Amino acid sequence: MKFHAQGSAIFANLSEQAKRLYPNIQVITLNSKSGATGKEVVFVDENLEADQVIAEVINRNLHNLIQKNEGRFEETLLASGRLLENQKNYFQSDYCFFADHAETKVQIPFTGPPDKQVLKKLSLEFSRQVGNSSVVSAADAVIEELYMNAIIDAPREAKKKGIQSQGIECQLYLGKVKDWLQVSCTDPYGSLDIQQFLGRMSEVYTKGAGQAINLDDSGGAGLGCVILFEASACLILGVQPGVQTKVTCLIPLGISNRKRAEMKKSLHWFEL
Amino acid sequence: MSKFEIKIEKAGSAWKVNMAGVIDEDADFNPHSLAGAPAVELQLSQIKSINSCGIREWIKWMGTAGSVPVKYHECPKIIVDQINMVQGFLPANGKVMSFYVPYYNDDSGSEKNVLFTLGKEYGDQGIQAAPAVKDEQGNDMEMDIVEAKYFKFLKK
Repeated sequence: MKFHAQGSAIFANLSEQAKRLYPNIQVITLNSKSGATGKEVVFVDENLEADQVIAEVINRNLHNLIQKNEGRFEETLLASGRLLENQKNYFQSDYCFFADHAETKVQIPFTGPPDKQVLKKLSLEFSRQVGNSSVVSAADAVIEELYMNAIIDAPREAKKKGIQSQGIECQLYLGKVKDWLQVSCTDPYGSLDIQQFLGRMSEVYTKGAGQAINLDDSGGAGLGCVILFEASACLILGVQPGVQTKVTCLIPLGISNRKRAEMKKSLHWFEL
Repeated sequence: MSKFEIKIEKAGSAWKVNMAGVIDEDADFNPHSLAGAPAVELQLSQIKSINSCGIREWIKWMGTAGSVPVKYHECPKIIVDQINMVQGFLPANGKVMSFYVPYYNDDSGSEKNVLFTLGKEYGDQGIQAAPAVKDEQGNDMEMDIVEAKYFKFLKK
């Protein structure tokens, strides 16, 4: 049980609060030679492009890679510690990444295509309340892909794997905390193969979306995963195999579209 | 949520295609084949969003035009993003005739979309003359994009 922080430049501003609250979480700069691995290690960097994040996560089997963005690193690190300390909590229907409770939120259940219009209407209303038009556009792109994953990809994968669904209801959650919009989607299958998901993203980044896209496939394939990541500053993938999958995208608020596009991306993934 | 709409005028030397709404898994391009068109001109300003299924259907639909010239007019940001990210979204014989660039003022938070037109604000070599833009209070606005990413398609 120790707080382990290496890399003085990145951790110069690391608060005592993080060390006190999450003493069992190891935080290590990506280029350190510590050789540490494991699900309880948070690796930190500040210069990786989105494709490099995916490559590092795959090649080094990292579960938690967060990046320093000015003015937001402290809260990202605290939230990561909170997530790692009890990953079961992540599956609570109103789990909020940055605080115990969202300042404002909406939870929208859905079961299939007939619900999409209402889902889109309510989610657009919410994102218009909390962000400018570029936030609305980013949230809309994320919600489209999360919906596709939950309604098309998840049941298809479940069928392939012989997983019995835990129900039919999916849930979309939107919450605003501080300067963040959290968009989470839960499906009742737990069929997401995260390694495959990351592999498809890597394929899109390395081959190009035009080459990776499968024109005969009815599912979302890698392009949808990349759209999720590109529209977010942080992506969290959590799976309880055979029970549920929850995907979360964090979209920064209160900044221009350009600054949001320049933000360095973070990723967490785990299976319980 | 605005429904996908497509209208094609087949008269003249180029088929004129007007598109609007959301291009997603429900968008059906099948009744709108472009086979036989001498050239195609798409008006895209009213497209509201496009998801990964919509992108795939778009590329398949564009393939029905064959190798005739295709021109994209008034591309909103969501279309420019796909042109930059997905090879084939703009076909090899395609050209962007005009597209919107988002502008932003950090202090007031005001937003505006400014139309850039081929031969005026940009040419085959890239941006020629980005306009100075002010918001309704007279504040200077900046381009709200990462230029190296957003204008990438101009250099192809």
